[in-house]
Amino acid sequence: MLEMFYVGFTQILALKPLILIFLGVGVGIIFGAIPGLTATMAVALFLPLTFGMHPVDGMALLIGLYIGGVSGGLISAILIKIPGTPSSIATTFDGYPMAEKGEAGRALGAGIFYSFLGGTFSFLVLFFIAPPLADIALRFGPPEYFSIAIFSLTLIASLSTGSTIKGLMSGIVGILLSCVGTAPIDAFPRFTFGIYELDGGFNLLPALVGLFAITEILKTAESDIEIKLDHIANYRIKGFGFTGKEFIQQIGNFIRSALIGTGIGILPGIGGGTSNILSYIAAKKMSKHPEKFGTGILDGVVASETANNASIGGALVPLLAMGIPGDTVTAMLLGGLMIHGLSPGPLLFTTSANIVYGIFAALIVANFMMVLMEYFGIRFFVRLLKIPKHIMLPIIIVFCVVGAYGLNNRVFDAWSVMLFGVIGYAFEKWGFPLAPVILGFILGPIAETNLRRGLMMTQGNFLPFLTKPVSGTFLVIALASVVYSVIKERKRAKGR
Amino acid sequence: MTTESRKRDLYLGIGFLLFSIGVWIASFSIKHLVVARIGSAFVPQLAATLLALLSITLILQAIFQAPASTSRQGKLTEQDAEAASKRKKRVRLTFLLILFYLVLLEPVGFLITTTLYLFFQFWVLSRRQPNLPLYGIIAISTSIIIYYLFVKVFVLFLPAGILG
Repeated sequence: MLEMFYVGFTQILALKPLILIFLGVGVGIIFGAIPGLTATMAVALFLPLTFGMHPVDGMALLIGLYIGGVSGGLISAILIKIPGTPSSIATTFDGYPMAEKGEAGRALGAGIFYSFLGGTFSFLVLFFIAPPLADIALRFGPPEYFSIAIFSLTLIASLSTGSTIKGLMSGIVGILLSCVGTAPIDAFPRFTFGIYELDGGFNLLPALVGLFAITEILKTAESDIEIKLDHIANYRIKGFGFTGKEFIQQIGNFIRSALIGTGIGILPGIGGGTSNILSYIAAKKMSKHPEKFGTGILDGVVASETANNASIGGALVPLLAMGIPGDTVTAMLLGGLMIHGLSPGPLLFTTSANIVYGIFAALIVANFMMVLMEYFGIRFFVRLLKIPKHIMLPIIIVFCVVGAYGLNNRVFDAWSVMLFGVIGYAFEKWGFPLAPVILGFILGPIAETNLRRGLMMTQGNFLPFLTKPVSGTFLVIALASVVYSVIKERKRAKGR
Repeated sequence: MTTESRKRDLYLGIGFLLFSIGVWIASFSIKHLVVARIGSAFVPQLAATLLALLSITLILQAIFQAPASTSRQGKLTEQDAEAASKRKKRVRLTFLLILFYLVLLEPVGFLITTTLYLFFQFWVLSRRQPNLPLYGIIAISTSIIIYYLFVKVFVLFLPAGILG
């Protein structure tokens, strides 16, 4: 393993990948810090640019965007009480009160430092878990992959915010959208209605850009809120903002938050957006002084910022070991790898180990760059917060269209962006979560292909899907998670 | 749940039910290999069935759930109504602008359409007094920068249109 790390670092520690990581982290932080722009969007916008690059260079850029995008959210969460991304929602709970008390620098310093530590923790988990997991996954056949895909789908639908029924419906709509085009195995056309452009189905990139970017601009058009930046607290960071004694006091909190973050990251479909809140709640429950939470204490910022960055390494575990994305950003990284003819999954560790370890090295380098850039560039990022949204968003739309168009040089893909944008906006309005749509879109074909492959192996008998231990277990958990969330929802409905 | 959102869920349930029936009907035209019991139509039909069942649950939920107090949903003041109609107008205009942008992109070309799109989109989204000359300058310079960045640096093809 050490020699593979050596190979990884020799690829990353060259001028071009370093510049790309620098660029990625910087742009990522900007996207993270500006409310409404997320890491998902940043990766979606830059994905087309990586098509022409060497896979390691391309992944270095995307990894930089991912880490920057998750970390940048703390800046606006602490300074203006608006989480830059969903990953930093819980950071506002104590980060902003700290800023009000004149401790903005302390909150920022601790947030940045614990983002780094949380990330590092999860990368270590990734480095040690992913290779052996890939070894196990090598023995998986179609039934196992089918069951894991079904498990992931039910999990995302039941854990996403709001109604379980709507979450499941979103997931199914995603599956149906993925059915358009040529069917797997026998390649019969489905739902193409004689439109030849539909033969290839919808591309992932236009779908993502539409769902997340177009939806966002339509939402902005609708909202009346304008960010007021007239009175930002003094945010000079001194040292890391906390003392050695405080660091020791936070060790327990840090380990718990890092474990929650990494664990949530590994679970398919959910990531930093969920883990920061869960970890904040856990920290409050376990604390000796829960009443102080929300008044501006360090514990809250540490819990939230450790957990959201820890989800990054976690989310990469199922992606690299099994080819199943852990959240919406890793869904796009999946696309980024596939463009280069690399299919993520257990075989990647044997066929393209250099790329896997290149990604590992990029994670470490990007994490260091994130600390340095946020620490020394905080003034620059705060200034960028002042760019008005009505100027920023239209320019992003142009980038979306260009990216979608550049995919295949056809306006059809730009039209798909629009279609998915309308779906996304409508779903947001109707209270349907968007993440299940994208995961249904990705996992649907994985589930279907493996179901039909498996049935060919068993001569059409479904029983082996249930009796094989791994496959059976995942199907049972999938069923249990749906039943559990339905019960929970009924209770909640009665409680009202 | 407010009366309004219950009504919305009722209509949504009916809408999705109709949609899933439509998918089911459309799936009949999917070809089927004689040897395989589970063919290409299986997953779409399964998904349509599940969607139909969930839609029915949503409808039932909307009908039978006890209505919560609707007192919070007071009368909208005139100001609120005006703001709401302004919001709707902005969304509709934004939607139309993106639509025009996509339609005109290939025949007219990237540079002209992007400049026009950006200019009007800035205008539509601006909340305060619009600064039109500034919007114009930003629109023109942004399109030129993006065009050269993509065509020259990243070697992607963009429609040149009537300028090409």
